[in-house]
Amino acid sequence: MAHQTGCEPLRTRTPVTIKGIRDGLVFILNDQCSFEEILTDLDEKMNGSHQRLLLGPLVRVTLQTGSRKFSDLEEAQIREKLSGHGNLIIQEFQSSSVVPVKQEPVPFIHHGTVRSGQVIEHDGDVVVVGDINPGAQVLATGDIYVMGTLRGMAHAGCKGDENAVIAAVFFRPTQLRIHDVISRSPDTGDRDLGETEMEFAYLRDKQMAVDKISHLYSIRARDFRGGN
Amino acid sequence: MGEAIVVTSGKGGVGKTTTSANIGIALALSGKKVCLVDTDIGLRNLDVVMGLENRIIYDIVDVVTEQCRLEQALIKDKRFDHLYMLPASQTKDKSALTPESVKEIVEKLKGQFDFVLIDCPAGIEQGFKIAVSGADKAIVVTNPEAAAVRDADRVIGLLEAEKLERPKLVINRVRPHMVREGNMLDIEEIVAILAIDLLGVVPDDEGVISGSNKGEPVVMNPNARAGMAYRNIARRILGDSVPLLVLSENGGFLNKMKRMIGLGK
Ligand SMILES: Nc1ncnc2c1ncn2[C@@H]1O[C@H](COP(=O)(O)OP(=O)(O)OP(=O)(O)O)[C@@H](O)[C@H]1O
Ligand SMILES: [Mg+2]
Repeated sequence: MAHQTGCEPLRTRTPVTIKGIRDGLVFILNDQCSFEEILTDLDEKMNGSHQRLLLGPLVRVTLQTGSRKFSDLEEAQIREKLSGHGNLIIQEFQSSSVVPVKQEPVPFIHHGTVRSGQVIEHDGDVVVVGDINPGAQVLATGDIYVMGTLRGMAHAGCKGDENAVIAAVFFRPTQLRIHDVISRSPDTGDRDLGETEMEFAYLRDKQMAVDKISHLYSIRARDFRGGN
Repeated sequence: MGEAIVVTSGKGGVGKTTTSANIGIALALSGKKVCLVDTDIGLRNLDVVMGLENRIIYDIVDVVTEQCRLEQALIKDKRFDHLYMLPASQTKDKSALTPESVKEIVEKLKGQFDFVLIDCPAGIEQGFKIAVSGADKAIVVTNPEAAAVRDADRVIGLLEAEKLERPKLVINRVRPHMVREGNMLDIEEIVAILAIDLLGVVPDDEGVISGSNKGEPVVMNPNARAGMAYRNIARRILGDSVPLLVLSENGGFLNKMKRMIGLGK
């Protein structure tokens, strides 16, 4: 598109600018103006100056909100203003806002054995589909789930989450760490691995505790992360 | 085109050189053209174990630094016409070797031999990288001891990163009565931890030491149990399915092992 300096003064205080494009209309909602100003101007334009525009066939409307991102409520108010005009179809609200939607950390899935000398570090939960061998380390800011034997060192909640857990099918860790609590493998004696059932370690009153995996949900639901 | 197999372990003294020499001879016994390559610069001893020390004129460093041609450095075995070895250098500067230069030599050897067996130095530093550089496959040697298994695990991780074919495991110096009494790591436990295929279990056998001292590897001795174990390993490398040596009278153990190497039903 050609540079249009001169046609449109920069930083114009017009709250709403309406432009025709090939397949519809663009409403530019000035991000320098208050939401009230925009609503008022929108009203004026819809019912006054731009009425001619609004009488034709169906028109797709894109609303550009600049660097501002409207809340659901604000969007609804704008939709309401436009809905009185049957031929306008709101296609989308476009915002150049770079404020990222807060991202849930993605779990990291490792396939295979984590071997001696290898370190896995991840922001979020870690799932190991295999064993964690002696001399290997897995650090996660979230939970650690081992679909195999945990023989090495696992550190869950390593950046301060004391609600993190470490779960494994076979528990034989060199060391377990959750948040800042360190513990050696629970004394299980020479238990036959064939008869163990999947377990998880968690912090109970700042002490490492181990329980059957089937209790994980009840502990989570009671203590933290809500019941949803 | 032959295949290059590196024999490695991480931990020192677990039996890499013994394993290289014995598997090499066993493969030669089966009529294969074999070349043993010693990459343990400064601590060479494959030639001693093979009883070929007195024939060395040139070595691998001479080949890399172009003091001689590859063919000139190859030593023919005194027993087999189609068994050769490329010795390491005892004294010369080992920094002359690079992964690229050794890889080039191994590639050339693969053109002339069915098997190129590379005896790796202990450790996981440059010497290891050099030994592994030209290899297609790897044999990891360990002993039934926690520290050796730990190092084997480390090495397997590094081999996986090198994109070699899945390494195969040799557990060396197993003493059946110690395993039975629970004083030595269980074979099954080792295989479970390392999670790679078991190529063979070699018993601890005095015949290995006396054989090495005479320059007559134990595999030449038809009566030694370790010799039998090495011959079986060679047959497995050649694709035969050979059951594991009965190390104990305990049938349960053997059956479990059979399952592990895919021989059981
Ligand atoms: N199965 C066995 N029974 C008895 N002795 C053995 C056996 N295997 C190896 N040995 C002995 O153990 C010692 C070390 O073996 P070897 O030199 O093959 O190990 P290596 O891994 O090559 O050592 P390095 O790391 O120093 O190169 C030798 O004295 C050898 O004779
Ligand atoms: Mg050696």
